[in-house]
Amino acid sequence: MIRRGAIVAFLIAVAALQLASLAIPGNTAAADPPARLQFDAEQRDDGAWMLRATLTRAGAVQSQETIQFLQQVDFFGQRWVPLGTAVTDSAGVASRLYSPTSNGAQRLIARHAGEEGTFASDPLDITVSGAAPAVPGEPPVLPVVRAWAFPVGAAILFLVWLFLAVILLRAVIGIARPTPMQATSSAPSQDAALDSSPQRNSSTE
Amino acid sequence: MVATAADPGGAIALRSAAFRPVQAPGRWFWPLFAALGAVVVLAAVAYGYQLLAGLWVAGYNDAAFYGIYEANLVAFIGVSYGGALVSAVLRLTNARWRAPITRMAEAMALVSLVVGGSFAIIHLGRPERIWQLITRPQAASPIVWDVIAISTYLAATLIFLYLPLIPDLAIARDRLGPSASRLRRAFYRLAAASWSGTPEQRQRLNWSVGAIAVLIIPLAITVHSVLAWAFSMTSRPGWHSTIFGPYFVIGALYSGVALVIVVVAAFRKAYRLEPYIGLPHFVSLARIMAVLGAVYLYFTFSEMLTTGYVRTREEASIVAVLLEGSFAPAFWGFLVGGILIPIVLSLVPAARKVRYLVLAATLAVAGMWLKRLLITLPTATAPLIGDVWGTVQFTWVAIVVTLGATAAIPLGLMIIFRFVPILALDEMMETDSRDEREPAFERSLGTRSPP
Repeated sequence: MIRRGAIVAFLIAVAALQLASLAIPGNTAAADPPARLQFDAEQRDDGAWMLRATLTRAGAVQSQETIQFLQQVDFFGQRWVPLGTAVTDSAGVASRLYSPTSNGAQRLIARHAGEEGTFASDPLDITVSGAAPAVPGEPPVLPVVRAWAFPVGAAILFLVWLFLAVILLRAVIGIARPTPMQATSSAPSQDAALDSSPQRNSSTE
Repeated sequence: MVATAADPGGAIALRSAAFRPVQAPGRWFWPLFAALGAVVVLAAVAYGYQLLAGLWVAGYNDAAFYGIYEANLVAFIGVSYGGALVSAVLRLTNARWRAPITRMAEAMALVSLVVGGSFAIIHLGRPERIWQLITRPQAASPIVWDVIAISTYLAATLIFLYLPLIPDLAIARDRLGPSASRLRRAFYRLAAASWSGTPEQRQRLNWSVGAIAVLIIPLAITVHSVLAWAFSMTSRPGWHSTIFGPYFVIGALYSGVALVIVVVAAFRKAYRLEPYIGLPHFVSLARIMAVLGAVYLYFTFSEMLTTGYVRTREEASIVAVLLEGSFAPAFWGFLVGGILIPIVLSLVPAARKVRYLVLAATLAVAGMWLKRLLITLPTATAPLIGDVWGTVQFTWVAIVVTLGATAAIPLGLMIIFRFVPILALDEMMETDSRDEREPAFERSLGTRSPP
């Protein structure tokens, strides 16, 4: 009888210890949920989105932890582009305003680098409309510009190249063409001219 | 004194000085040539590695899509325009002190244009597709405009260097004789184009030189404006500016005159040209540089004031990072070190010595390169999604390629002056004979060269 009671008491004690261990912060026993990021977003009236990520560890909220928000993009390959960071408050919530710059479906995540390593929230899909582009849109080319810019530019370019050719050919051909004076002049005339150069002085500074 | 009893006019000494790089470049020449060549080869190897590995090895990424190469492109092409415009304006205004420095300015314009233009290819991720710019050009693309503008300007710069060279090449043809190799003699014979100095030839040459000097000024302004439009035609904050065309042109002139001062000082020292290039040449160039620097300062102030005052959503962050953010040290460093100090050194009489003026010019060149980075990087790294700024990394590949390009300029000039006289002999003789005819006029101008 006593033996049976002892076994029951032992089993109860073990069960109690198991239950008690769940309440100890930081304990990552198998039954404990690990650190977790819960991510949601809410669109405001002005079109911007308030991103909120709540960080818990073993069920307890975590403050003063940095959360990074990212958006999945597929230009230059599919990857995650950082949107910015925020620090969790006393309620474990990191919130950040996000002003989308393009419309349509977007997939966002929140990410945290903590003692467990880097882990992310579940992806959150949002649909954006009325986004303000990051840079002003480029207006369509005015018809008059479209009609005249290319021909005028091409004509100017042609004239420049023509003028360059005339300048070069006029000099080279004009110089190379023998003239009566050239027949009588030769290299010594260069030297005579060179030797008649006036005196120079050497003052510098 | 250059004149001697055997050479009373100093003509032999002048010719000897002009041909010194061709005939006797000095003991330092080949070691320096090898050193600069090694840097250029190293840069070529780095570029080869970039070709194999991709642009990321030069520090580029999705959040920093423009970087050091674009700054190099604008900076090197800018100094080229500056060199050509200085020479052209001095020719057209008949500034007689120009003669000893125009050759170096024109050669510098050509070399720096070739070096700068190469960055239009270096900064491409897929350079093997550049031929498609010719086969499938998009007329609305500023990049196509750039290619056309740069190639047109390259042709004009070549002609601008070549035409005034013809009489000097004829002197080389006639005077160097058997001391030159057969290939070199053939080059002089061909390039001198049968020049013998007749009045008809001189008249034709003067017309052509005058015409190209006239043409190259609007061409250089247009071409550098086109380069600016490659930025300002985008709707990117920081680049979309109406004053970018003239802003770039003035910046090019400022840095170009500064580099002319540095180049002239270096070759003057290396080839002992002090009798022909004196302090007044540097003072005159420095004054031009100071005026251009002041105009550039005004443009910078105007740009920052208008964008910073209105602070549109797009522009506000760019202005903020420049004035007080991560780029602020570079911005204020450029303003003080690249503009204000050079202006002060150029204008203060106490600093009127070649070394101080060269220091001012060096600061201006370095400062303007920094400014081109400040034009490129803030906008290229500004976020379009979220608010996380991109980060530019100055990797060894980008740095080595930039150093190689920088070394290529003196190397290219050393090569050019191994073949052509470094001083514009014919022009100097013509200027001197004109001075003799008009001494009173010259004295009144106080521009007789050299002092």
